[in-house]
Parts: sequence; C-alpha cells; structure tokens
Amino acid sequence: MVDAPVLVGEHLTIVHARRGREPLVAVNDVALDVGRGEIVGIIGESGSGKTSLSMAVAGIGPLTSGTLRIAGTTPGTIWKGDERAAVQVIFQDPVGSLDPRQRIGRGLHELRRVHPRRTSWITDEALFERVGLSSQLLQRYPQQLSGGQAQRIAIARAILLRPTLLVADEPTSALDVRVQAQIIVLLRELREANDLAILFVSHDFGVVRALCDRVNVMYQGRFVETGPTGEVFDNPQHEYTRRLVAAVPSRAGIARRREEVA
Amino acid sequence: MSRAAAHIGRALATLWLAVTAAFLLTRVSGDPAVRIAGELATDDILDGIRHQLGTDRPLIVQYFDYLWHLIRFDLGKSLTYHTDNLELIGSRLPASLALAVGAMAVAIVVGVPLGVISAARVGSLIDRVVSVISLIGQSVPLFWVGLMAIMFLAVRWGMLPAGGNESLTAYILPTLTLATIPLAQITRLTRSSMGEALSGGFISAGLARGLSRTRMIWNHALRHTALPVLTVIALQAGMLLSGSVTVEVVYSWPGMGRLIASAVELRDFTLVQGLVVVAALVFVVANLAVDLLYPVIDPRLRRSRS
Repeated sequence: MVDAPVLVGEHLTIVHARRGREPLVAVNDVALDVGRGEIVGIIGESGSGKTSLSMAVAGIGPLTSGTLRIAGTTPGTIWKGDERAAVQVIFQDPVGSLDPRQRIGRGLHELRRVHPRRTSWITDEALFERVGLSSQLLQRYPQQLSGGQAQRIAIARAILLRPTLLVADEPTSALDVRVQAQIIVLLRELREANDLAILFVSHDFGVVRALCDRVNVMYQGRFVETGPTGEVFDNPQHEYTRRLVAAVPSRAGIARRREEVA
Repeated sequence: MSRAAAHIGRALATLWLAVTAAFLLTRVSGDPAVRIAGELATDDILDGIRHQLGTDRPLIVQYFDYLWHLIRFDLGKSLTYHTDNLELIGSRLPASLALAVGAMAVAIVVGVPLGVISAARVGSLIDRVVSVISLIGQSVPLFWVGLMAIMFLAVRWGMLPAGGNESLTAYILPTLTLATIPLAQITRLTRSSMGEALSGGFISAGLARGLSRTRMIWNHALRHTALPVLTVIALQAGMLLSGSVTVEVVYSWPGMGRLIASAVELRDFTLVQGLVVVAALVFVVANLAVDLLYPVIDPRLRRSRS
C-alpha cells in the first residue's frame, strides 16, 4: 500500500458497564485496518460486538482502551469539525436516521451551514445525481421516501462531507433484496469514483462476499479469522466461520436437497 | 379537508353532550322553586313559581326549549342576580382570562426549558430535583398552595396583596398558584417526549454528521415535543379558562370561577347551566384548535403528496 491506511486500530477494547451485573466485554483486543479505497467487512452474528466496534471507530460510541488513528491522526475524545466529518456513518434504519420534521433539502442546507468548507464542492442536484436520485426528492419529508431512497439520501448526506472513511452498519439489512443489490452497486461506484474507504458491517454472508475486499469474522468480541474475502469464505479455518459458511444455502446445497426430496 | 370536517363534527358532538349533561344535572340537583320560595311555602305558591320558571312542563319540552334558546345564544336570566346570564358571565370572563393566560405563559416559559434540561441530563441532580418538584406540583392541592402563599407571602411578610385584582402586584400570587399544575405537567411531558425524541436514530445520525448536541436538542428534538406539549396546553387552557374555581375563591378573584362557586351554592340553576355551557365551549374550541394545528406542526400527519 502506497498511502498510509485510512484507519488503523490496535488493541481496541470496549467494555459496557451493566447495572447489577458484571461488565460486558463487547470488543476484546481487536486490531483493525482499512486502506484507502478499500472495502473491509466485519461479519458476525448479533451480539458479536460488531456494532460496538463500528460505532467506536466512527466516534459515536465509547472506546474503553486501544489506539485509533484516522488518516494518520489520533482523534480526541470528542470529535469535532473536520475530525467528525472525516468518518461518516450510515445506519441500518435509513428512514429513522433522518429527522421526520425536516425536508431533505433543509437537512442538506443544515449540513452545509455547519461544515461550510467541506461541503462547497458539490451542489445538491449533482450530489443527488451521484447517488442516483431525482432532485425532486429534496422537497420531500423522510416518511415520503422508500427505504432505498432514504438509504441513498443517508449515503448522500455522508459523502457530502467528503469523508475518508465511511462506516456502514448493516446498511442493507432493512431493505429488500433488489434494493440491497442497488445499494451495493452504489457503494462500489463511490469507492471507484472517490477512492472512498468503507468499513462494512453485516451479518449477511452474501452481501459481504459481493462487496468486501477483505473480511474480519467476529465472534464473541474477537476477530476469529481475517483475510481476503474469497480466501476466508472458500477455505474457512475457524469453527465459527465454517458454521457461518455452511449456514448459507449454496447452489450446490440447494440442488442436493432437491434431489433428496425428489 | 374532510379531516377538518371530522374534527369539527366531533367537537360539536362533544359540545352537545356537555350541554345535555348541564341540563340534566341541574334538573336532578333539587327543585329551584323550593329554593326561591323557601321551605315553608305552600304547594300553590310552589306551583306558581314552577309555572313561571317553566319547570312544570315535561322534561323533553324543557330540553328542546333550552336548546332552542342556546342556539340563539340565549342563556336565560340568573335567578339570583336578576340579570342576563350571558352578560354576567361576559363581565367575569376577562378577569379569568387574564389569570389563565398569565398562568399558562409562566407554565410554558418555565416548564419547557426545565423539561428539556432534565431530558438532556437524565439521572443528573438537576433532573432529579425537577422530577420531584413537578411531582409535588401535580399532587399538592391548589387551595393549600394558595393558603400557604397567602399566609407567608401576604400576611406574615406582607410582600404581596392577598386578594382582589386592583393592583398589578395582586396578579402575582394567583397567577403563580394557578400555574403550578400546568407547569408540572408541561415539565414532565416535555421531559418524557424529549427523552423519546433524543433516543431516535436521527439524533445519533445527526451527531455522526457533525451537528452539535446542542443543535440536535434545541433544533431537532425540541420540535418533536411540540405535539404532546401542545395537547397538554390545550387541555389545561380549557381548565384554566373555564374556571380556576379554587384559586379564584382563595384569592377572592372576581372571575368566572368564583361565579361558578356562588351559583352552585345559591342553586341558581340557569346560571350554573350557562356557566357549564360557556366552559364547555371554551374547552371544545381550545381542543379543536389544537387538533386542526397538528398537521401544521407535524408533517407526518399531513396527507402525502407523493
């Protein structure tokens, strides 16, 4: 890699205090890096710690210990201005991540007022074209959008700030399969066009396989396996990864089952 | 448009129910003829009075007669004040209105920020203090608050007048006393709906976009408290306007509330009827206004134009 990686995290540990019970170690001494223009996946079941980890990386969740370097600098405890803009997040619930009382265009205007220098590079119309939306949607309220449109708008709001890293936390889980595929295509295009690095968090084996260059398999707060997506999934080493791969109905598996039934 | 029509229809139905209840309740609360003529009056005299009042007619006839007069804004004559009821109520309304508006203003101006601050720091000292105070404010009877205020602030320390509405300072104690319940309710409701709004996904999304927490609280989340808070304001406004009976009696305030108290005491049934009708009207109109305002405030309640 020529450039310094966009994200380097070492010994990342996140402990959630719980009332009346012993603290929960959500993320246990994890190392994570994402290079420029690279799409890195974190796959794991719910409760594996993948959301805690991604939120900490995005600076909106707590980090108990470990070091985090983003584009070569170490962010402070409260991220502000450019630091904040440099890492952007898109969430699982796209409609819920937009203020229901605010027209889409007003929301963009608000972002432009808060980050005047970072956002002047593109007009609303061009931005919407880039994510494949009609600029008519600028007049709408969030509840007048479909899930796919809302997720495209969330992506538009994120890339408006020209982030170096986009953290996507299950961005396709709430969408139907056809829209899922469109969002994946869009994320891939954005990576090509903007050299955007993406940390992609999902429990969906198929989506991760389609999108990610490298993958980290997370299980009970640790990365149990990490490497290029194809290698990890074609030749799983860890017991958990094997179960994960086996749980996905492959074409061959489905054909075999059909034969058994017949 | 049909939504507004439905609201207006419902408001009219509510009004009719209140008007009918006022009619029936005043009929079962004793014979006004006995009150007018005294316990010792002969049946002949009583019959004469009943005939004069029209209470000797069948109930259904009286009812339609009453409705017919209501439609023409005729609330009848008071049995004790011997004047037109509408005029009488009209002369008392401004004093109650001034008190109600003042109390509501205090409740909103103090209650909303208190609720926001406690919701922004759930579990903090300030949040707990506010919670306890608003619980007390909602639970303590108004007459007690009034009596204590009079006892200490007016009588013992002589800081403020204890009653009447002649001077401007006389407004302070009754306004503050009347404000306690709406203040407590608005604070509690702002806190809870604010808490709900702040846990919404768009708040963390906004923070992730670099919008400050202050901005998310005051520019985004606060708008979400408008609906529930507005509802309480409407309900409370109806209550306040239609007679803050306790407060007006305690502070001998010359408003509608005291008129209600004396009308009931004197069994002036036409006046009680008239007062109930006016109070119901105020209440229904206040709530209708809020119902019609909802879609203006919350775009989600508008018809989708897509």
